[in-house]
Amino acid sequence: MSTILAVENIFRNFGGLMAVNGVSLSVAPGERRGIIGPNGAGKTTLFNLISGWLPPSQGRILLEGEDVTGLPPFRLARKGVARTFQRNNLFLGLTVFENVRLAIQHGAGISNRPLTPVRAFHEVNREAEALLQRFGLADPATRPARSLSYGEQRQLEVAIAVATQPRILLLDEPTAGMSPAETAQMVALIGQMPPNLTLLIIEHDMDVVFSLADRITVLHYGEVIAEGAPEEIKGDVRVQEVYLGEG
Amino acid sequence: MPRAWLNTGTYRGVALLLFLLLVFPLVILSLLIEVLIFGIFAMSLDLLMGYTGPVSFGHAAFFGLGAYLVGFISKNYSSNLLITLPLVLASVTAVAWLVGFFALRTSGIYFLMITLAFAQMLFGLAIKWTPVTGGSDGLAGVPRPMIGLGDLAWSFGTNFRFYYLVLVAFLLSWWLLQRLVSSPFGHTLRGIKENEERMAALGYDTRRFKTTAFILAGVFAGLAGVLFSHFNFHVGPEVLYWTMSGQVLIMVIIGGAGTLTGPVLGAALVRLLPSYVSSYTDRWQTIMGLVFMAFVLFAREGIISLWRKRDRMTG
Repeated sequence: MSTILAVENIFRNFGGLMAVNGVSLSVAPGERRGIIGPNGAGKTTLFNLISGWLPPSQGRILLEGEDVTGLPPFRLARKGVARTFQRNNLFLGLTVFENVRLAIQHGAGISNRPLTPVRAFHEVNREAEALLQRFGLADPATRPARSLSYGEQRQLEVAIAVATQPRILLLDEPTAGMSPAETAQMVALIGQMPPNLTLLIIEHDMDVVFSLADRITVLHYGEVIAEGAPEEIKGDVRVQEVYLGEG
Repeated sequence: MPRAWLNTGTYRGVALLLFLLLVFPLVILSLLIEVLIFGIFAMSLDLLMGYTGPVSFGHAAFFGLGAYLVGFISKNYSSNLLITLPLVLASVTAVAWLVGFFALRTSGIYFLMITLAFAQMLFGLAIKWTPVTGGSDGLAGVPRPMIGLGDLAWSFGTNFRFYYLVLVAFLLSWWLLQRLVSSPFGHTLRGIKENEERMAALGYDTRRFKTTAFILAGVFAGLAGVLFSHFNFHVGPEVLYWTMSGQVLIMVIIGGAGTLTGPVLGAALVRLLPSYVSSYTDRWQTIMGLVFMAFVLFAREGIISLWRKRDRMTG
């Protein structure tokens, strides 16, 4: 089995706190990997390490065999690693359309063009429209992102990341704070993503994780305590202990 | 579409400007020249703080650099703009790149302090390096510029001719900046202002874009400085002093950051108000302070927002 993303024994501490304590992962191309664990298990820190927002204290991150440890976020983004944020991280003062177009225009290689109006780049504009259509955000396209409902902002959060046409997409709690209807919509959207796109999904909603993931990694106090197919994880005694013990 | 009201606002601004440009020269030519020069200066700062985000408190550095360089060159060698402009603007580019390289590693208040420190450093240099800069007296006898190519030469010796040179420089700067801010590059800058972190997550090398914006802002400020030096027949250290940086900052804030017309209106207000008020009272600075406070309290988005609010209500 080939590997698109390999995390080799990484550590990250904040002062005395070991947030990520020797985690290794190996993700296959096109895999849907769920990452679960109680609060404070180090899930978001792991995402921050993979996407370059934090350098690891120790260990390596390999992208198709290439060592990308310590590269800044924009370099990793250019190598096809996109992410969403746990808290919406949008361009609130720009329109919904502009939010998506900014994400597309970089990949289209026009971000340096200084004198042609951006609306003259028809292909980029059409692509942005199509993406908004797909995400059900075509109606509010001309409104500032600030004016969207929380659920719509959450969708835009994912739409922006998808717009960069990544090879690996890290979704940090994509359905957090959403209503059941919005959650179902988001699950359908994620389920329809192209099969060659590799997904890593942090989720607290177990129904979401079990319906989307082919494999699940369970983190607890910064360590991997279980990894396997969803059925195996459901039956795993330690995982049950961790979740029951927490509640 | 939000663009629609933005456009009507912009065009109304342009219409008003053209009206003023046609009528004003007959009234007070030199005041208008000054407004246009500071209009370029204020637009240049706004490209940085209004469109890209970083707030510089040392933008006078590039204005003053342009003013001193052109003063020195035209006094001692040539006042031919075909020679001086490329030389001066290339030098400003190099200096802006160097300053931006260091200053843009910081942000917020630290960026503000570093730019201020750099401008004050140039101010100190202008005062101390007497053989070149004339010290605290500055350089007197800076000639008006000319454009010459072989036997063809055109001098901007009279105020009237110089006014048209400034007008062309202003309109060209406005047009270029207008194109720039509506281009993909300009939208990239807006994205950085809105949310730099997310821009990095999308693959943008944000520091490179900020550096480019910083250099462009410096170049237009340098152009304004060039015109200012020729206009006054003199350049002195006050063009590099922090009060000059503060003044252009106030122009942008009063006028409306994030628009191009706003800072020009701000420049007009800040340069014109003293000359009107001072014919009634000596305390024009008090009046200026009150006006500034009024804008910060009641029209935080500047003069231009008064326009836009009306646009929104009517359409």
